[in-house]
Amino acid sequence: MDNRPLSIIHWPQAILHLDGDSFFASVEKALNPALKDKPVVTGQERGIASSMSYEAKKLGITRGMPIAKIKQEYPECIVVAGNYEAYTMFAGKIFNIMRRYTPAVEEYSIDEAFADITGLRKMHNCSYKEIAIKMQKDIMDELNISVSVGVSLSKTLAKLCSNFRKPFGITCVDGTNIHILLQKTPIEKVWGIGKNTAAFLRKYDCNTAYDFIKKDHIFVNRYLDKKEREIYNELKGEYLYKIKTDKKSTYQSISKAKTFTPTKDKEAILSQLYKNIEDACAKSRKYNLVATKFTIVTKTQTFFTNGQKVTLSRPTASASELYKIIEPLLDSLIIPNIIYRQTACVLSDLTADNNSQLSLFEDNLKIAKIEHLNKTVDSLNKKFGYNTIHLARSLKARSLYTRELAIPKLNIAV
Amino acid sequence: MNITCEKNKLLKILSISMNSVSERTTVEALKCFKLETKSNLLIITTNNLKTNIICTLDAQVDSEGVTLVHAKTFYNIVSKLPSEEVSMYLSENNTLLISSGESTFNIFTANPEEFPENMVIDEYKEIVLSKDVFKDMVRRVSFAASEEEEKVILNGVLLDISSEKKKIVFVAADGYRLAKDDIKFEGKDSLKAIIPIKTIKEIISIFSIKETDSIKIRLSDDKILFIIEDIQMYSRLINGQFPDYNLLIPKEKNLDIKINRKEFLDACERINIIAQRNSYMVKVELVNKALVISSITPDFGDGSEKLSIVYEGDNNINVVFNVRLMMDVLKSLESDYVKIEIINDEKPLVIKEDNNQEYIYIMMPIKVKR
Repeated sequence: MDNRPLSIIHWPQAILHLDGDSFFASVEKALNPALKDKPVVTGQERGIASSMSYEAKKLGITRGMPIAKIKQEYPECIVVAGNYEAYTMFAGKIFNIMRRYTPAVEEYSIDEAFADITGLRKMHNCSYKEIAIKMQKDIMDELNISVSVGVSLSKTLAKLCSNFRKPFGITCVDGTNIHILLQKTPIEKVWGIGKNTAAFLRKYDCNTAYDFIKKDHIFVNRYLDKKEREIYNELKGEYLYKIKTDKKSTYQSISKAKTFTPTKDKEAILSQLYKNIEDACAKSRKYNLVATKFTIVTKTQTFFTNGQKVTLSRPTASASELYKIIEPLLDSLIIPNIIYRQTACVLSDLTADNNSQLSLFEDNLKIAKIEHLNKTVDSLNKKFGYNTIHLARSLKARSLYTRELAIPKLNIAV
Repeated sequence: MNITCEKNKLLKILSISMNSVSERTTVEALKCFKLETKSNLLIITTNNLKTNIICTLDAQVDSEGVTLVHAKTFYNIVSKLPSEEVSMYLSENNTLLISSGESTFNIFTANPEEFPENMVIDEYKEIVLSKDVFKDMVRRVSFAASEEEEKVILNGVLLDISSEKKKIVFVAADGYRLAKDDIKFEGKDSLKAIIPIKTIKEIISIFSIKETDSIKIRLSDDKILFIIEDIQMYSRLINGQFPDYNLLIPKEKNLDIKINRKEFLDACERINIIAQRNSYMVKVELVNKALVISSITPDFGDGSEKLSIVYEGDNNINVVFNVRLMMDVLKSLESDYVKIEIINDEKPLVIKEDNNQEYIYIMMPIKVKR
């Protein structure tokens, strides 16, 4: 094996990737110390496991396993319903801890973040690896949440690192050691390389990420598309995918989907769908957007999906208006005696809601009243918490999420 | 089938017939011309199931027959033929031999039985209009029709004939604006029909090819037939109730402006350069007895135009509107001056011609949220 380093420069830049270990299950444990060292599974409301603690993973429970099966085969396992409000809150706290070390933090998903820590060794008076260790320790000490951290020269490499040692791992790979990491990385483990690309690359003798980057430019230019070429260069230590620090301020489309315990009760399915619509509309209003196109989808237990798309004559983000429109479509989406497991709603063709072309044929006064009502509902929910006020149609779905265990008040200084 | 005819006349007829040829369809017959002979006539039919055009042409018919040829190919061949005469011969193996001068083409034909039946109008009411009047009225209102397929009823022009009021009214609207024009008409029938905007465009394009003075219109409940001399064009009508336009026309006004149409149009077109980046929003207000239109696009720039006007009424009004809706109407009118009537920033604006009381255009303003 070739042992020559790819670069002789240790740290042209330092990119950090932080990844929560079994994040949802970890939050549940942090909230309820009684769960410590016990196998915990979240996802009761969906009917399938969405996150498992390491103890549960050791038992052989995997993501997507039916809750009924888990309860039957692993009675010692503790199954809880997802508490997404708490997960979002913890995520926010983790990102804020990261921001103590660097302002350049990208919130990549609910339990993942990238950060640029280039040039901060002097300020923190320690090495890049020590910055990662401190960050991890702060999160553990203050939130009791275990995270794994990777530091390397690019986002793609940092992501490989954070995945390299898990849970509670620290992996730091500088320019002179990239080749060792890549030699140990099977090609399909690389971020952005899917099943098909991996199968293709294996045919050209790229079994590890190292084999891949050893391919010459003729191969790269002939066979790879733009995205794959970017991954190729990122793996070589080039910093191409920049850290995006600004919070997402606008959307092309907004979708809400939720899996629930499979049922054929039409009222329950409808209630789930209405909840999706209300949540999507609320999010859309939060970003001051209105939608022109609107899609609703149902998925049966056998994973057969059925959808209907509606183009609206006037953009809106009001659930009560959308309810009226979808009524005639529901018969084709929810067929009696069929068991459904998921509903979804997508708002698309979003435009800014700062002005509106008034309509000739519609009651403009009524529209203004509905908008005013929505604003009031939004401000109440903001003040007293999500779910404080909602339309009665989604009550059945929402009652599933009201948990006996309220979020305890945490004395965490952030 | 063995016929000979004049190339230029044939070409003219073909370009009219092309209007009813379906380009995107899985039914091959709808992409074809149906060629048929009848004593000394060549009948060319096209049908896309929405419109159906039947044209006749004098020809020297040596033997009778009927066939289908691919319309676009046939049209392209005929348009490039060198000689003034074209002969067509349908061979026994069902290819059409087209010859003209030294050129010969042999193209495959389709089974004429697959071609749809011509549309039929049984019980109808008939009106005859001057072509210029019809064309003018249609031009002045049809641009206001909606192109959004979802607004089915508004995808057409309403033809409202009233024997009581002794007039014919043309109306078109999308969700935001409406255009209406009427002419006096003496007749004993009253009827309403929504003609699809596509049909209107086709008939206008036929006018540009075929010179004629008048147009005969026959209407039934679900179809319309236009007869322009030897050309017949059938079309389906849009089924449904057109909104009651009389209710939408404002009865009040707070500000009445008279402005030079061309100057206003030019100003709108310049402002549009900025406004097109910000939802075409343009603000109009009165400043020192002049009309000022302006547009601002954040982080890009702004522009404003001052125009001299004659006005009467409240000079404190300012209204934001979509400049495209304004340019559309200013372009389609011909009078030197137009009148703009404003109520407030939430009610429709009215645009009229200075010398024509019959024409009226209304458009809704844009409500700016602060």
